[in-house]
Amino acid sequence: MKIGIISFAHMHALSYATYLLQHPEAELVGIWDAEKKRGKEMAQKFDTNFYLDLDEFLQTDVEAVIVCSENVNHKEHVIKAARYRKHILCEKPIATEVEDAKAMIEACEKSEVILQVAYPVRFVPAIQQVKQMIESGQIGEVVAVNATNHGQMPGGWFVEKELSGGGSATDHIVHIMDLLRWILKDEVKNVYAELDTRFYDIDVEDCGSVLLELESGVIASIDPSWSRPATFPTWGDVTMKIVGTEGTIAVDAYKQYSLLYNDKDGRIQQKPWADDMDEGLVNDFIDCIKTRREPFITGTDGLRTLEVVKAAYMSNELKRTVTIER
Amino acid sequence: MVKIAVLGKGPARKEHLKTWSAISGVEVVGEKENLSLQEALSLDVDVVDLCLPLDQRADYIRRASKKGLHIICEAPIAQSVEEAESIVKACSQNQTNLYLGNSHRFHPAYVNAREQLEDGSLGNPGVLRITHSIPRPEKEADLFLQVGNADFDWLVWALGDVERVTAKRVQKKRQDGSLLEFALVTLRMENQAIAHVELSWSTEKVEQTFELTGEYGMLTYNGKESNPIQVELTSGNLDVEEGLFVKNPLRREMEAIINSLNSEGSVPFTPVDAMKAMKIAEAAKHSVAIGEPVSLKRGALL
Repeated sequence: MKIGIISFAHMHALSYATYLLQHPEAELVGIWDAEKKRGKEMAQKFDTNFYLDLDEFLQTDVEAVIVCSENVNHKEHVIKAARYRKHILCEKPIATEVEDAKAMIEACEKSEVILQVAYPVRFVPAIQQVKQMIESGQIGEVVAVNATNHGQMPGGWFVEKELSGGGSATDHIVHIMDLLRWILKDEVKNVYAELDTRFYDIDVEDCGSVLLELESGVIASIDPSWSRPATFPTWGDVTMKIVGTEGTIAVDAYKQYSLLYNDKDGRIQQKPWADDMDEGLVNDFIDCIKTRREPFITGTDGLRTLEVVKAAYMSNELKRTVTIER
Repeated sequence: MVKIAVLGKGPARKEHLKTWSAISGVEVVGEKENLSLQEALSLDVDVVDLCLPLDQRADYIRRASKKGLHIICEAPIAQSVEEAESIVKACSQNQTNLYLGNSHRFHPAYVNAREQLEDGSLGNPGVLRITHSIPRPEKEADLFLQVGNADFDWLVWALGDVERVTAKRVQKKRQDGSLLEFALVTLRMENQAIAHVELSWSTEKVEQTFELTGEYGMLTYNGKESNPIQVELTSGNLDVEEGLFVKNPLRREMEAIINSLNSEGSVPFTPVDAMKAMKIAEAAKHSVAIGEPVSLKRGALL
């Protein structure tokens, strides 16, 4: 199966490329990048072709593409790839505006191509185990979730609003939001958010606290802050404390690591030995194309999570609870 | 010599009696079981220490204060801000001191965390995450007032006043008929730091954690993981008392009160402080009811 990568602006492209190369049925046939230097470097690294003209790339017999451009460019790249009838795995967030996400979904439906959104946390074995435990009723009825998706401040285009669409709220609400929707089979009723820029001298928000009510009455909070210090032993975290009537589950998705006290670099580092979730995501995308089944993570999943992000921004602006209109 | 009578029943009274007996300059009077307020007031005492459920505190404080006795009582002292204010006023008119218990202000981890914030170790504070769970009292229970109280007070003590409170709460019956109650609270401080507080009634033990972040770093604490001793026996695990100190927080609190009574210092937690924490708890409850944030300006409900 011939697969290409559209842009290496998002560093996850490196990981996706690695797992494409490892897949017995996949072939990385080309890379397009608006930045010639980066694109050429990556093409060389992964021993594939570089294209500077996206149309030229999409006119080839490449069957599917992984879009890892800057958030605001997802729309253009996904719609274009759909017009060329390529299946698409799009990095999260699906888009920076709700209308854009809708247009992307529509374009993919019209062209009858798969649109999958990259929410790899669903492939973490601990997360899948938690979902099973909840579905089997082990903690009774779920009533509340206290969740975090912390990170270090990523810098680069992530803090340029014209390219990212927003800061930590854009970057880090969606992963948890996707897990909540997927695990609880529920939608968000309303959102309240306090967002701010308190850690860095940047033009986007770097921290906040988001409170949610789901349609079922479950309450949840998401901390999407880039609050991990530079000395933190890893990039960040995904944690959830899930409270049920008969028990509580606390899950720390990236807990499978050994700690390295590293005198050479003067720091303490988490060295993970867990299964890589990106491998699960890439393999699933390929399987989805092969078997022509519905994607595991759909464009609508991307849209619903984006709606919550936009509601959080509006709530922070108005200092009021915002009800989600779907 | 300060003469103290301890009222109430159960493990709290026992714990207080034990701790008072270790402090010099204190004489415990009326040590018998089920000592009534009537009996205590007839004794020669300077101070009554009330280990009572929330709904009895107000009445006992008023009566003891009327007799000219100083009072020690766990916060909150009443079920509403209004009632608490009137009690504080009454004590002040009777010229009796009201000393309020507070689990964080005398806990070394929380005292240390405040110092770290004060001395700038974390720089400008960003997001402060706190979780707090204690066993549910047998009788009346108000999650925000009885669990959140200490956390709200600590936030104000460490960071200053609160600007805005938003809270969500769930209450649900468990299979065994007991009530599960859990709340998530977001506070915007006047200095613009954001605090997130998780409150719950636990079925067994006290659970306390904090994670304080600022521009220069992060300070974390987990009570459960701070115990220096873990014992595993073939016959089952042995629970070693948490918080092993030469002087535990209760002892520190009691010594501070005695010093204050002897005019040798002040207590770090006053009825005015207690009132602020109560107002935040009331704002949280109000937020739950209306589904919107509630503003607090200069400590008053808008």
